[in-house]
Amino acid sequence: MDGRSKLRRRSGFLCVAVGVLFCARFVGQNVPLMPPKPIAVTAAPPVNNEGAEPVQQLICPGGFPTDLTVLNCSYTGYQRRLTFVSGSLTDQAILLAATGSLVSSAFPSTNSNAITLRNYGLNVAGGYVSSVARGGAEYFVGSLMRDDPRHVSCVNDPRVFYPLDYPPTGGGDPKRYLCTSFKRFMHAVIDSFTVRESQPGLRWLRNDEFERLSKGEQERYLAEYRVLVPHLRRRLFAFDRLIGVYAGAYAQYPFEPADSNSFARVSERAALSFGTTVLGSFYTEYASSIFRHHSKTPGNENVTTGRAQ
Amino acid sequence: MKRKLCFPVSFLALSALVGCMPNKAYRAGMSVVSVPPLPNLPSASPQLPRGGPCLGPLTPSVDAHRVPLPHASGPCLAFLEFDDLGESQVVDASGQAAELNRAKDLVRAAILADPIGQPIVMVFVHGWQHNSSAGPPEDSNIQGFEAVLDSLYRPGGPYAGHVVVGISITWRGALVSPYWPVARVLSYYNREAAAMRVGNTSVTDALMQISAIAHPTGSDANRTQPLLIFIGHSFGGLVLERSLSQAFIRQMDEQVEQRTKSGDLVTPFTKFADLVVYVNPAGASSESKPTLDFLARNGITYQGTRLIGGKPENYPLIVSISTPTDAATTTALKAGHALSGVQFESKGSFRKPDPLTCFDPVAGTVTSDTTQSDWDFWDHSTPHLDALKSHDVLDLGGPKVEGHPETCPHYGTGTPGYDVKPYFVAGHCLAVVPREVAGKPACNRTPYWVMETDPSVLPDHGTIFTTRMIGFIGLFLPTANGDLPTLQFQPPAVPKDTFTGAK
Repeated sequence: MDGRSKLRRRSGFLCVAVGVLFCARFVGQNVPLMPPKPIAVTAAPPVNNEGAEPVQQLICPGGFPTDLTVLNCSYTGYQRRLTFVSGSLTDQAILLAATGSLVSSAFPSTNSNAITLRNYGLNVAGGYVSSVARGGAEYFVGSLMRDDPRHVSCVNDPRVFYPLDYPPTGGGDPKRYLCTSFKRFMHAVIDSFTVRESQPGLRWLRNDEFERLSKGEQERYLAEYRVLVPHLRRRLFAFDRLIGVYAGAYAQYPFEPADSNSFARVSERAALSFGTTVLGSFYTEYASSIFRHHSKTPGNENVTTGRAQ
Repeated sequence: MKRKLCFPVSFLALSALVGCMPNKAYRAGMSVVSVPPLPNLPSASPQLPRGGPCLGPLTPSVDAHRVPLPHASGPCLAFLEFDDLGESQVVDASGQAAELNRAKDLVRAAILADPIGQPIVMVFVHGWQHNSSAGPPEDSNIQGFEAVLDSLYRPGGPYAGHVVVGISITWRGALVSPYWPVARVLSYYNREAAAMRVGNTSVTDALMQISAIAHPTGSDANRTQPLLIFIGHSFGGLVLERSLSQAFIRQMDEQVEQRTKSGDLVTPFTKFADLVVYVNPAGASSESKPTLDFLARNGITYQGTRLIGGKPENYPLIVSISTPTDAATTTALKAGHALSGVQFESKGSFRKPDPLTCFDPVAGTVTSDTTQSDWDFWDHSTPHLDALKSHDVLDLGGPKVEGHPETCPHYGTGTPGYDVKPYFVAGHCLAVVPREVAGKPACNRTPYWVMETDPSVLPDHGTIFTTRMIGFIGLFLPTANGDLPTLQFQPPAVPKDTFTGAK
């Protein structure tokens, strides 16, 4: 067995080991036979409704207004783990590696492996190992730097509509908050190369919510979170993505022909891999325009509806 | 060769094992819990300790005087868990469904604790990709249902001042772990079949027992009975519809027979719930068609005392709502049902046309719509099939003054017997209006209302636990008008002619 084969085998075992560490343990069927509890059930009494105000609901970037399930806007540890495992480790990664290799076999380049069944298998394995490496690097670097890798569109970006200076001093030039075509395009580009900050467990307070806090609570909030709106902060370069694409590209080392492992070729693979991030950002920006739904209005409705006679 | 195969085979076997979600009771030890309040401050934890108010001892003084419990602080939630074959997960030594007994106790206690004996009892059935897992993280549908109960209960909420209890009917909607996204999507057919199995005898029994406590026979003239609402989402709508349909039809048939024999057309029917809501139901409309036909054939009406255009106002007993932007019940359902549809078609199982009975309670006419085939009913969910729609939700534009719904455009006051229901969400003045086709009332004017709402209310398949949606569902409750409608029937009529309004 040559050195490259050993490396391939080790990469495979490493992937399986990472998978086993992350996957939930399998629990067998369990139908309990429970004795009834001797405690009787009571219900809570109603609350006093006098002088009450409806609770203001938090709206996260890109979220639907009045969504009651939103308690904070942070990118939690569970979400990060789910993104890594489901996107880079399990069936989706395997499927993408298999189909991606099929597509690349249809368009062979001079530097790629010759088209044989064995090489197709190597390409699939290489694609999968690359996916695990990229996802793993983004997971670990993202966790360390507390990044929120989710893309947002221009209209949903708090940095666009939220005043940077607090309390707002400049007043309002409405044009400042408008997402023009140019602004949207640039936003999609910038959103690919930068990343928002996030800290699990933090809750993004809006101005009116902040105002309702007592003086002491406001001071604690500022001291604890350093800035008024944590999700406003954006890291100028998305290091997790950069490290991720290079980790993925280098992980393909044992599966590529020897002359495809120069730094320039690895960088090419990394750039190609980064393309998916750019596509994701542009999709987030323009999906709402592409799939825009036109509400039913009295004018465009092709059926008549019940008006007063 | 064997060594070469060993690795991929082991990997696939491991994948199959770790991806599977267990078929078990998640809440066996604690089937009734208190709902934690939504955190208002950044330091508050979303996972507050549970227990206390809903598990305290039922003292004689509570029974006798309906005094508030000193330590109570929020709504209560009971879990009814069903297995993959639709049986109760937790049974005691005598074979009784232990969780159901606890849930019934909770409803009884809620009636006693409410100042006027009118608590809200909300029953929710989740859909695909969900279960009753306590986590962490707790299943997102359970979290959402808890948030809804809390928002109804808390000061300023739409049902503040009353006791609020929820009953979550859970099943194994999630077959595959969320860590395996492709396998999860491929579990569609498996879970659709499971939803059909679960929507059966045990769930029907549970719903009827809860209904019997909240709405005992002959209680419908009582203005202060509990407000009982059943809600099913996605495949949960399929579970709920299959569980309720036969029992509902049997209950109605029995009452129609009694009233016909006695000649008593005045005494109202007992209704099993105040409102049944299917939100983005993922079942074919062939599930709802028999109920719609039944209601139309028998002339079942649900009318209040308020007059609209000289006719008593009609209310819904069942509402099926979706949104045009719900890809799951439009595109995915069509794709999912295409193969089985072709099989049915090739074997001659589909009739064309399959007549739909139409009923207009205002004119008192029963007709028939013969424009639809069984294929149409099979590859559309109920709210997305035009022939079944009873109402349209129109966007009239924004208000003249932003944030002031009183400056919204006025659409009209409706047609005789049907009100126009205005609804305002930020930037959108909406109106729920009775549907008309070619100047005539739509085929479906039964108490089973069907509509597609606006995306500003319901943006997609899963975002359902919103204040906007709660307010929208509230439009269909007769309590919003202070009215007390009664479920009755107009003597059955034979179809007179063919309905010509539909396309």
